[in-house]
Amino acid sequence: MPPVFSKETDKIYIINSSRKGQGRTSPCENACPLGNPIQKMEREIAAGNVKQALRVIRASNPFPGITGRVCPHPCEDRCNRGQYDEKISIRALERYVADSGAACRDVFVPAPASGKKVAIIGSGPAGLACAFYASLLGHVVTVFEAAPVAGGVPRQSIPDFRLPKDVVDREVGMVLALGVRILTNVEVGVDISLGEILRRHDACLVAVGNRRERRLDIPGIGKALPAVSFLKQSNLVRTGMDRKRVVILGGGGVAFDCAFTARRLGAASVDIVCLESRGAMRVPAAEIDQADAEGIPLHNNYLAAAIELDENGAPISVLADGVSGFCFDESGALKADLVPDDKLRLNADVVICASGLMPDLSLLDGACAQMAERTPCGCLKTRNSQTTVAGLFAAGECALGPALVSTAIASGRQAAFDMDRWLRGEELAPPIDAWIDEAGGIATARAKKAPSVREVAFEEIVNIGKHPRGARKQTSRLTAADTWLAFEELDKGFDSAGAQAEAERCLHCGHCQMCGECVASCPGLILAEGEDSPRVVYPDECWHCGCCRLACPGACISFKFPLHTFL
Amino acid sequence: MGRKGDVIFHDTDLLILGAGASGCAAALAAGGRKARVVLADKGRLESCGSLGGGNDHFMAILNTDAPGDDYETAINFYSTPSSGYSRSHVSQWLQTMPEMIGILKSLDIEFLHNPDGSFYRTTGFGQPGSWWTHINNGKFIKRRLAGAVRSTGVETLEYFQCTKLFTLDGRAAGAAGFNVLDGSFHVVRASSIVLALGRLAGRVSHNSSLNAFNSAFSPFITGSQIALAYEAGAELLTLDSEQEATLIPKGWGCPGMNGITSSGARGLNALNERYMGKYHPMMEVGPRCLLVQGTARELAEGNGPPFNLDLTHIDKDVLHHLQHDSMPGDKETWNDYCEQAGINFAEKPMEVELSELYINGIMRLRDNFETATVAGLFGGSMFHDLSGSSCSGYIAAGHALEAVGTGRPADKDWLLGEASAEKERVFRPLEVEDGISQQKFESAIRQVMNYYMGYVRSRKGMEAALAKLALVENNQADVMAANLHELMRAHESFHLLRTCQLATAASLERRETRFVYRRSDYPDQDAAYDGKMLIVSRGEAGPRLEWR
Repeated sequence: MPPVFSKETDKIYIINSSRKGQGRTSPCENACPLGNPIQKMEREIAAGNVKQALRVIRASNPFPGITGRVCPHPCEDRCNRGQYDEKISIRALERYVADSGAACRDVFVPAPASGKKVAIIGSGPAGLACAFYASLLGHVVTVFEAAPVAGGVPRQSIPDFRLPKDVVDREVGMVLALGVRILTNVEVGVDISLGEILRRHDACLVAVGNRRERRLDIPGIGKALPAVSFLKQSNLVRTGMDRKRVVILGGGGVAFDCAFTARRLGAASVDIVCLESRGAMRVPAAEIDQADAEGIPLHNNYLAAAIELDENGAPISVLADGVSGFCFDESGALKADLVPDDKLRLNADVVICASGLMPDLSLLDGACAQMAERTPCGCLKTRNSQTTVAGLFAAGECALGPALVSTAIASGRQAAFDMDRWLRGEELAPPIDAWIDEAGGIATARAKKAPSVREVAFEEIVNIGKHPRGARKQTSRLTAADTWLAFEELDKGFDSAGAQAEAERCLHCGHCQMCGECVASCPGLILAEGEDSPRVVYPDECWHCGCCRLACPGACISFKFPLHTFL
Repeated sequence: MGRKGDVIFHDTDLLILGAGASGCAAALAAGGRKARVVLADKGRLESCGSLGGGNDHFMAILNTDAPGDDYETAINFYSTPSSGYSRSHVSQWLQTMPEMIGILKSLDIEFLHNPDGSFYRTTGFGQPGSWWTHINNGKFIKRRLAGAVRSTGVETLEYFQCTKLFTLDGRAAGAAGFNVLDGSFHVVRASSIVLALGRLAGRVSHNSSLNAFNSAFSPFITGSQIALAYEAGAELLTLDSEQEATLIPKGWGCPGMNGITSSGARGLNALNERYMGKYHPMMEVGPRCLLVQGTARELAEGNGPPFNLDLTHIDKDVLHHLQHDSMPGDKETWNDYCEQAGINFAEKPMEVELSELYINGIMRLRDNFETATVAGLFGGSMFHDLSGSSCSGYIAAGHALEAVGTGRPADKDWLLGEASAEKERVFRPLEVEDGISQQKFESAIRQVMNYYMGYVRSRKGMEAALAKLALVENNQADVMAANLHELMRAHESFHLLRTCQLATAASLERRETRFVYRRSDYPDQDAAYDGKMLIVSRGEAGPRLEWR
């Protein structure tokens, strides 16, 4: 009959599969692809322990400065507090912690050398996450990167005003500090064969991302710039676009990044042509606001029909047809309903096509790994991170398809532990728990059993009144007009007072914070304050009235009825 | 916080003992006025009392055109010669119902309404009208009521267990007790006292789970209302008649069977017979005491166990509301239990059992809710359920306020002198060594009650019970409590013992079968008892029992 309390954990988890002591948890933690201990981080921030918050977050995510800026925060979207006043600004808190501890190299202690050598192809979020944990697990790690810089998409394809490159380089440096080697300008399949890499290493991870750009099939498309190539170019070898008229085809995040970049490179005009209506665009509302503020027109409900070229073969305009609706058929092909006589013509000197990315696994060609099975969409098929070729692992977008940075990191992290078990000759299937032990090293254990964790719904928090209402704290944000450098970062993040106040707003759904309300509210007075959660001192005197649960401001209490009540 | 053994004196005009539905409503009636008010309970305002975990019904007669919904019908139903309620008592209750609904609505408690705007109401056990409104968010009631009480500025004395009422020259003078968390001892001087300690005394016997706390109604009410009033000299009624039991899910104590049976549940015995047809034409929705007697008789004859309540024939939407919205209003953990026990009204009958016994005594009150024999002592917790308890507390406090100032406050030194002997008695179990543990002492009471005071009784059995309860009482001075929690339970069991003794003595006097239990030596109803009440009060050498 007695209540069961779902507690905050004392452990600093890397991977928390068994959720010990946590029968209930928050939607935010469930929604995070990395399973970040969001509540624990917020509790440390609220208590002023930023250094501990950094340790907690870095254990599960080595790149919080990156995700704290670019993650589209599925956590925040599901935050229960949104049904009370406003959602918690979780991403900005992660960034605050990362920035506060940017100079802190005091991370975790690597395990003794295993004598095993691991190769990782690709230094993006998945590859480097795997490198970080594989190195901590005691393996010698070498990363092969085709580009001249390490860091993958965050380093090459995300503009500086969103993600400054020193942030990426510093977090890549955290990986290097463990002794990981990153060999840039080495393209596997060209400079060295995959077969050669496999021969020289005990295990290999393919984490090359989605590299091939998809192109619209319209006349003149050959003269359009692929969006990601344009962004890479702008990040690595920036050239001005003075007086150019730029038209961007596409309505996703990459299209907006291209538009803002072109604007900062001095383009005379920037236009976005996209299929979706203004309300249905797959970007945060803030992006649309920024486009408005920077004078970038959105031509919604248009499908590009052709790029008109001059006699020298250079673009002069973009033609587009109005659409009343569209869908994709089973094969992924677009079916659009055109509006007769609704034609759009935009003058253009430069056309940028942002139509998404596809896998490019040509590096496998000719190697013994060529027989590695693919998924229907062309990704590498994996089981416990391993491809169908023994010793060859895959993580990130080349295994998952299009994914968030955080999902790619999670996939690389998991691959490190799967690879480690494979190298040790252990079984791969059962999920594991991994955490930072008292000495600062990695400890692992097989997760006992699949946990049944209940996600707290807002309505379950009966004593919500315990939390004073308060608006979401805003980070300091600049508009383009306020900046002194063209590519200056716009979001300046929280100061410490703002971060602390925002972290204090957390409702701590499902994780007991020892407020004592339940103990005080038990009509039978059978509970007492305990070490890390309340204790049921007199279990046989529980009337299962649920007053404890009604008093709990975090819906942390469930009930498990004893045998005699079922007989 | 006080410290163990500290004596803390409180001076007030009105003391309300008990802060459940009744006490909180009393505080709302009395708070925010000139008089000083102290509201005391052994729990916390937000959760103490039967209402803590919620309630999904409020019984309201609203004088509409609906059949049986008029005051006259309700007064005739409740004010009977054996109920102990005068026409005036019931009439005041009826008039307070709309006001109480207004209070609950002002706290955003949601009542179910019909499309025409009238209250959605269903019929209770054996009643002549559809009087039971339905509440949607009943689990919020107690917390919000507590908030309203706190905002009146009433002084609260929480975690205070009352062990004694003081009287002087036939008038209430004050009360004493201890803080169950810190062990401080409190003396309250008050010439007006509302007793609102709860109507249904539990932990009298146990169900098949053998755990007395796993009960249909709150196990934290063990007869303080009866024992304190008796010791103070009040006259008690209905100890022989208003004993109560119900059906509960097999092995799990919870209230709410009213909602299930009134939704059309069919009670089935082991032979798959709808057995209640043998006992009352209204079958399962007849008087609750017959449901108990009928089930007990089936049990005795071997027609059960098992017993089942079958709802599978009922409309699925009705069942869904009942199982998922209504029942959790009465018992917050209902859904958790059903999930773990595999109970699903729509799919299969639910196994039930006859619950443990409850004892239910009220004080004999004048029309102003003041006891007939102790001036200044008023009765809250007089009527049944949320409606009855809250309204009676509200009414009693209104009258008690009027009485403030009519009597001279007792002398403080005299009161502290009396209290010092009480303090000695209260803390004694903490000092006893090599005695009897509080748990053993309490289960001894139930051992007697389970065996001799079941649903079939006889004179010889009850005489044996009285003798054995006396034997238990002889051990009272040896009860040990290891800490303040056990001390609280020890005093609960002292009140329980007194309540059981009085109820047993009273049942012995009723030589007929009319209510929840059957007298095997007097199996029929006896018209000689029509219009008679058994009055129990404290005499020179034990209880005085008198038919009037």
